Amino acid sequence: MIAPFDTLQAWWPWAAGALAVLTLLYLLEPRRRQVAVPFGALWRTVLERAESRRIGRRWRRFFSWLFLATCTSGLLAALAEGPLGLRALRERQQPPATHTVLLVDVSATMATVDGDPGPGLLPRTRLELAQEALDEIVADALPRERFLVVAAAAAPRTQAPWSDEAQTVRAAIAGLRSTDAGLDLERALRAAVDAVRERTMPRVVVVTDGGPSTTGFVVPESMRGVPIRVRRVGPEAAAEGRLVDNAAVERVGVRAAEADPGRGVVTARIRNDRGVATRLRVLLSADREGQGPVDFARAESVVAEQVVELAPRAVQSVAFADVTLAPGRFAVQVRPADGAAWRDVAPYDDWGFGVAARRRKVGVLLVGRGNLFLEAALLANDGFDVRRLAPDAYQPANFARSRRLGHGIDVVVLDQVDAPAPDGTPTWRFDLRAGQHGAAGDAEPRSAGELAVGDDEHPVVRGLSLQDGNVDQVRPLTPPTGARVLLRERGGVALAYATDAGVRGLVFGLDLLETDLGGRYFLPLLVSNAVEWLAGEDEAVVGPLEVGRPWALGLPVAAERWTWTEPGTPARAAFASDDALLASSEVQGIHVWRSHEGFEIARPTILPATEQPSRVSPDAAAWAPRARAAHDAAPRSPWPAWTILVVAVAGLLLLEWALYQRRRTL
Amino acid sequence: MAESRPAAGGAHAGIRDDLFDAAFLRRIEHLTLLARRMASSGQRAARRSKKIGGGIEFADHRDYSPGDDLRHLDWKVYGRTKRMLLRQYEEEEDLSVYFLLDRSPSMAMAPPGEPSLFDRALQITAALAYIALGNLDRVSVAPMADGRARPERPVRGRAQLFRILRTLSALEPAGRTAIHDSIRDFLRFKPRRGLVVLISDLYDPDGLGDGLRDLAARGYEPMVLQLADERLFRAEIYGDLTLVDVETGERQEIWLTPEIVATYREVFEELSARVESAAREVGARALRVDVATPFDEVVMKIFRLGGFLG
Repeated sequence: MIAPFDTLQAWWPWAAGALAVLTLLYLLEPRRRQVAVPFGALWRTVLERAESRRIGRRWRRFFSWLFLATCTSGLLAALAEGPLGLRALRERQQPPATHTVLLVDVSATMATVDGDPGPGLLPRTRLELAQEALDEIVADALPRERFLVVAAAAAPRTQAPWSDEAQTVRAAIAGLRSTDAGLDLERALRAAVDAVRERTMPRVVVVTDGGPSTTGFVVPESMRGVPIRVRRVGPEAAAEGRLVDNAAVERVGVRAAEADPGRGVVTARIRNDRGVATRLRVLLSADREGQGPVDFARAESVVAEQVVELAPRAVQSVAFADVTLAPGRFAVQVRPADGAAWRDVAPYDDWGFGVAARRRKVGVLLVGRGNLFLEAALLANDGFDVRRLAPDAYQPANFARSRRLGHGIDVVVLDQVDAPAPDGTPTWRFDLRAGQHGAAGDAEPRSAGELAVGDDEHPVVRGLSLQDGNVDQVRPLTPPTGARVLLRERGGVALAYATDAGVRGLVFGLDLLETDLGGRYFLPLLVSNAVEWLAGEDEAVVGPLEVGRPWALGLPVAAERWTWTEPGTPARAAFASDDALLASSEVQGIHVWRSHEGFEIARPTILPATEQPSRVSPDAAAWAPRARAAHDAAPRSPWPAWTILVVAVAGLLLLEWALYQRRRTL
Repeated sequence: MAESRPAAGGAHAGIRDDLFDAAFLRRIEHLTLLARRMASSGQRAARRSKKIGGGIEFADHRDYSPGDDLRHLDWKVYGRTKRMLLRQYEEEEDLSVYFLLDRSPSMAMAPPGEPSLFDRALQITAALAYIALGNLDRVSVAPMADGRARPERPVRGRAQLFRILRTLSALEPAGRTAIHDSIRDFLRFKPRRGLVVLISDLYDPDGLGDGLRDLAARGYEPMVLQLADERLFRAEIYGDLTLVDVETGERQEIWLTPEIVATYREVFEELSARVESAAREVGARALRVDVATPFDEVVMKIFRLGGFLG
């Protein structure tokens, strides 16, 4: 929270300077015009007669100074605190504050002690467990998250007003006492929703034992739009020594492989909140346009699955290796293993989301004796950084693992060069000679027959047509196992193939100069496709990110500064926190951050996801965009900044009018 | 104050042609004619000395006393009345006219391009001097400043006009106004009795009263010409001002308003009233003229006021 006028702390040097200048001007009297008069004594008589030395007149200058100083101070305050001022600027630059109502059941049942808490643990009441859970929530608060603690029984009661100070909130939580009354949950929820509805990023966390006095969780329509999550304490959570029947995905990271950036590793951090070892199914889904669980839960989106067994209350990382990163968007879901007897009580934290980062410009090393067609085709793509090298100067060892070592070369193109490809760097080879690079059995060059695209689903030749293409000579190739044939002769002999294991590679058994492809639009498309595929990008990996509603995260994510754009809200900088960038969608309550594992998207992300969503939350209405709160309803100065501005401007205008009246000539 | 622009050479050498140009000379010549006409129409043409002496104009009879010159015995009266009366004749002598000219800086204040009190005072002095010279009076100019007023050597005859003009052209505003001290300094030179025309803005009413009394006591005939500047009452700026006295440098902070200006006019009128009172006290004539009034009109007012033409 920004305290009223606290931004003046940054302005006080300016304010002091302005006041000093103003005072100096009054002392030096630069605005007091000097007028020569013929007979000063006469004016002295005039002044005495006009009573111009009355106290009011004598102090006129002081009053004038005081008035202008007040106006100046008011303007400074308005500039600092007003809608155009530093305070507003800071608020605009910061992510909107999250407002959380901690609605705590303090009904009679919360005084219950449920069974054996486990070895070495003291028996505790449900309220004490609730307080512990609340402390965890407060400890893991988001930046600028503000809490309102409400004790709910027969009637809701504010335990502590809105505060972002953890100590204050904890003190309020510690002061909760169970009552003899029952719980009117609907009334309490209504009060909680009303308290938070108009605030930014609202949510309600209900901590209850769901005891017999609970009237149910069916929230009326009027309350929708405010996420309500329930954390249970009591028999359901404490039975059989379990703490919470919950498994969660804490974080998802996407990292491209160094050798093959088209593929990579997706890691997920899985947490088991249960007090017993638990087998979990971890599903990896990929979807180019996925926006939420509904998209990623489709069967065709699931690309990998693992079953892991987590120790009680343990956190474990699960890695999905060699994943094609082309879809760009990934989701990891955790579920109870098949046949499990338990039910996950918090399905919302079962999902984590990740995004593959966009690559930098593709560095291409073209080694050859000169091929204008090939060079022109490479230069036609702005995404390529092409360097040329003569065959004599080409040393494969210099470009081995070039990408990994950061030499800036992502793809090597060998055009009729009698040299091996660099180890560990994707290579495209044009070669008519047998035995140099091709697989065993490559034949001698011969005249080509009719050509056809072999695998029209492969990114390199997808959508391309070789109809009426002419190639003078080809070298029939024998693709290794697993390679995909890109070009064929009608006779079924492959003359180009792609390997996709380990390091990507392309081999073309032809010489572009011996074809008519250079004069056709086919070639730049083929070259662009081929280089991008070799570099690991079938298409643009990350497009505008849309989740739920149309909003976009301003990529490239490699930049240190992010910009959020959302409909209905002004573009604003993403929030930077320590070494991570955290951006929040105000409309959707979605958070994005960067960690050493990659870029991650989640909702509601880093909160300890031991909360159970209310039954109304999963439906679409809960995710419907809300109008942005008109203002952060945090306590503000009793004098709004704009009133200060208006008063100051009005005062100056009045002063100016008075001076104008005085300055009139006869 | 208007900038001084002495003429290049000839008879006009050293004369400010911005004040004393040919038109000016024509106008003062015209004034002289008017003065003669006024004299012939009833007013005496020339001032006469009241001294009874050996002139040719009969003045009066007196009883014979032993020792009187029998040549002056009026035999005709003796023949008719048997009384021995002596004929007395007026002794004609030159009348001296002194112009005490205030040249303090307060006289020199004027908006750019407009005449100052000092300019107007020079023109009036020159015109009156020319008329006096034409009347065979002795004319002397005594510039006043810093309590001093040394009279220049008196001159006679119209031919001396250019000398007067050169003297006036050479004057520059300087010093402070101290009328009483200046008159006392003037008297210290024991000039011949005559008409003393005091031309000033008279921002020293107390000093004026004392000075006029001193002049009258010594047998001089004072005349007061108060020059005023109505422009002072038309303030162009209002608000927070610092007024600086051009002579003393005294500063006064003031919030100038139309009300203050009105009060200033009141005080100025009171000052003028005190000037008139001081003049009336010694039987002197006083005239207040505004700087905007043309000099020939001022001279005509002086004629109508009487005392200057005799």
